[in-house]
Amino acid sequence: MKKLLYIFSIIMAGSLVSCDLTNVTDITPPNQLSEETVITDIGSAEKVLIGAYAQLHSFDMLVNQPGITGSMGLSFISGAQGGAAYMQFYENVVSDDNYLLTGIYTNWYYLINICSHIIEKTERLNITVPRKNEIIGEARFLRALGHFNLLRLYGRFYDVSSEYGIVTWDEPVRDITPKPRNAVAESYTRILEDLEQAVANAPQYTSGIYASKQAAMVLRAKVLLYKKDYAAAAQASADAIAQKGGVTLESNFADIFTKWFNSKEVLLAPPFDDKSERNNKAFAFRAYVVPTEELYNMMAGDNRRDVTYFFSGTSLRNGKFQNTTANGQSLTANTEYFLRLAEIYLIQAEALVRSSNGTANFQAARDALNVIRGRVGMPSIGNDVNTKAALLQAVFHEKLMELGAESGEEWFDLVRFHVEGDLDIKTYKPNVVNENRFILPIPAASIIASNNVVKQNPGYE
Amino acid sequence: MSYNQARNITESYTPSYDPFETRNKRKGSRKDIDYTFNSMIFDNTATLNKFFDRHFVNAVAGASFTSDKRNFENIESVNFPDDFVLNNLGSAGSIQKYSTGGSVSGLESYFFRANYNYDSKYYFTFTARADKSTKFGPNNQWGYFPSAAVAWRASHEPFLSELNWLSDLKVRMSVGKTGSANLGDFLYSTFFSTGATNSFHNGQNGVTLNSVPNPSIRWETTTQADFGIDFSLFENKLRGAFDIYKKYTRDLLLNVTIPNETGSSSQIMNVGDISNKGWEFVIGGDLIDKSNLRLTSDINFSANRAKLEKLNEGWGTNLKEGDPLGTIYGYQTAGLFRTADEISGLNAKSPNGYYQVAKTAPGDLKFVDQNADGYISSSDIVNLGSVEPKFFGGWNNTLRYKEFEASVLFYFAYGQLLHNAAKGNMEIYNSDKNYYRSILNAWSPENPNSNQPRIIRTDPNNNARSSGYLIQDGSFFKLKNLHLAYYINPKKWTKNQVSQIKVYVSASNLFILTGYDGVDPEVSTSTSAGLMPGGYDSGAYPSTRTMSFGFNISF
Repeated sequence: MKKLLYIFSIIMAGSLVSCDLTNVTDITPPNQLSEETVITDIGSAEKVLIGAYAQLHSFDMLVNQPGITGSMGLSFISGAQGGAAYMQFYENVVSDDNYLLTGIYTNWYYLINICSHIIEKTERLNITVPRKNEIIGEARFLRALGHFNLLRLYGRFYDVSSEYGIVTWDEPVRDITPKPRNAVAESYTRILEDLEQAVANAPQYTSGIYASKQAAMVLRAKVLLYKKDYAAAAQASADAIAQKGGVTLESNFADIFTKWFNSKEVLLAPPFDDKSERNNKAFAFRAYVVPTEELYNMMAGDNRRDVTYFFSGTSLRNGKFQNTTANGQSLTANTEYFLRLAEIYLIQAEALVRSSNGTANFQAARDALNVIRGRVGMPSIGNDVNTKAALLQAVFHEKLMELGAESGEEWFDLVRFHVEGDLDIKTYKPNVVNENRFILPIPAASIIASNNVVKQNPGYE
Repeated sequence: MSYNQARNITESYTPSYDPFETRNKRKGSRKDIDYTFNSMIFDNTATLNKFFDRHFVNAVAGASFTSDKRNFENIESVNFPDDFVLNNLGSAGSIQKYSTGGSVSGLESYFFRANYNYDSKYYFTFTARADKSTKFGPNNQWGYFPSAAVAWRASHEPFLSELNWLSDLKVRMSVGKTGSANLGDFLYSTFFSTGATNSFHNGQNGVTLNSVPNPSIRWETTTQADFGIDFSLFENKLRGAFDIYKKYTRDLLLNVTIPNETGSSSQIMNVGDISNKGWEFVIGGDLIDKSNLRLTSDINFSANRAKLEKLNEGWGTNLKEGDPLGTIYGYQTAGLFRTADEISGLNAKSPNGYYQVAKTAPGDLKFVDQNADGYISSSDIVNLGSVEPKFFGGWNNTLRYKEFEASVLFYFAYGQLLHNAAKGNMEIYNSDKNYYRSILNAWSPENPNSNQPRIIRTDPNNNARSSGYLIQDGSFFKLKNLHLAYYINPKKWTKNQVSQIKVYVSASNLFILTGYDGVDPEVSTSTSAGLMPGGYDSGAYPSTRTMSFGFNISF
């Protein structure tokens, strides 16, 4: 035994000398940065910001979210390859284990988490260059965009007194400890906080490829409108229009959908190419979700119909998302218009009407609508449309014509206008039989994995 | 000291005349994948062997250092001037995607093992090891794993060695702890890297976040206790063994669903404790043992019961502490809806307006509303039974008569449930594709007595979901192998060059007795919880029936 120990200690001594062989546990992960090393200067912060924008290129953001929202609304129906998962949204009866539901939910939170890291770590940088605050502003905009989309899909966004808001984050995710949902009012507060910061710090608009002060101003007006803070929404819209800077409406409506992310009307739209940013949206928008004939028929007489639709043989196709080319390569890629300027006039019109003391704001609201109508050569709305109900009807109609078959904005309009008593959602979507159907269930996985710390929406428990 | 390298280089080229290439207006696509794995192990051991009198001692002590490195390189390129010659990477019109990366892990181990036996009657073994793995965070890297075993060869005792019919009798007992670090690297902290699916924006390569960290990830340890008896009687004519065991696994590592608000859908974590207990019984004998005729038969039975003992915080699952691990969850079914009135009656009582979905119609499965809230949701999912067999085993027989030899092996399992997902895919209509012929028997107004769900595009009622309709008894009895051989003694013709010639026919998977209506109840993948193999038949390729014929010549 003594001899053994002797031999053993010689070997041990020998092995301690030859460090390369024995020093196997002193390692760091290859090609990976830690929380301490990921953002050390402006250049490295820009790299992570690019990583955040890159999430807007995911299939969930580019295709699934607009696809399912437009299906819940009036734009789309499940196509030949869409299957039951997409159909559930068209039917407005969505089960809590639908994979599309889970993908969209998780991806927005992933983007939010990257943004929280950027904000936290860039704020810590001990440098004072203007770009530092701009980066933080852009990240705050993206985080607000994420929280807002989650709130309007999965939370009772239309009722500020409701407890069914969403889980929100103002710091990075450190571990998997489940976090309870915020009330709707708190969720809005969090979103608007980020947007105020983005308005103050994000850079001036140069293109829709990156977030800007202008994009933040438009989104702020939209969020206030959803929150039913109509007077503030009207003011925010007026501010957004007054300070629109380099953002301008395309004079020709059709140009938006051939210039894509390069259009100066577009406030946020991810670019695509024939390489790493190649996507399959144009294909998905004729295979997974296809336009409804219902909306096509509703657009009869509107000059935007021929841009919004075309026929391939006898099949109705989406004209807003056609095949594209990049670098001479023919592609099935396209973009997603997360925000474009036209919407601010429609937001303004609605906010003016809803916050109007008597008929005081009606002319301004008609003017805003007519900006959008005038661009496409539709006759102006005249003084004869002079009741609140008629004007709201005009707003709803105009939004449907302008934004239909795009990102499903009409679905949220249907819910909001129904809640305000301006229309009956069942006449458009008969399966939306009660309030529970206004929003989607939280993915079942989250409810189970959080052990009910994350509460399910009513009607989906 | 050993060094191991495995390298896997894949080059694939899709020529420009491929229809998919034509459709995408590309002139050839190429993929280059280069994967290398390096493992360096530096082992040091010192051994002691010593006899004194009737004592024997053997001891080993050592230290081992393992370093594993994985690297990959991935390049996708398109547009080649020529399909046959100029299709090398250098000829590509453009590089579409590129990535490289890798991971590294280290394991540092110190171990000691000692065996002692007295007079080949009493055996003692003791082992101990300490491992340090870089897969865990700084505070959880070390694991300590001791074990001990004793055995008693009773047949060597004087009072038993007089019994001529007892050839061998041995009693064994052991208890020990082992560790598992079967997981990815650096999961304990937040890291950022490039190369994710979505990391490019506007032509720039961005940095993205890896998965949500698990700062508390630690060793999975299993403590196992065994007790066994080996026996052999009548000069080995009857032999067998009996074992019982109990395993307790603490801090089981599993990739599980996490709250999606973290931006991630799953994580490897120490989910809790599980236990396995079971027994194995083997008995066999030489039933006939004459010079011209030999018949031997061996049969074994095993059973195992796995249970969830403890749930750690953070893991949400349908399983509850004390549940068997093989539990299948799904909706209970109550046959098909036969009339529209039945559906509208239930819809009228639902607070959501619908009992199942808007488009539920006669011919759809009716699920049972377990919590009586008037509608079907995931809270109506219940325990439908277990995928663990009550027992399973094999039965092997060999008959040899003069130069003929026949052997036959049966395999069986009894009492397990199986999720027939293939039936859900292939017998419940969804979209235009091939289905089982039996889909023709689906419910329709003309075929109102069928129990198969109706044919409807996109299956709005989701009849194919995990439910009692698809969970079936998977018991079976299978002829796994049959082997017939004839031995020719070549001594008649040659002197020494050829010692034996064997001609044989063998066949596998010749028949199966089962009530299961899938293709093969033996082929199944893990249940979704991943806690236990088996239980889910995805319609994977069944065990093939093979026939072979051949001869062996021994020189």
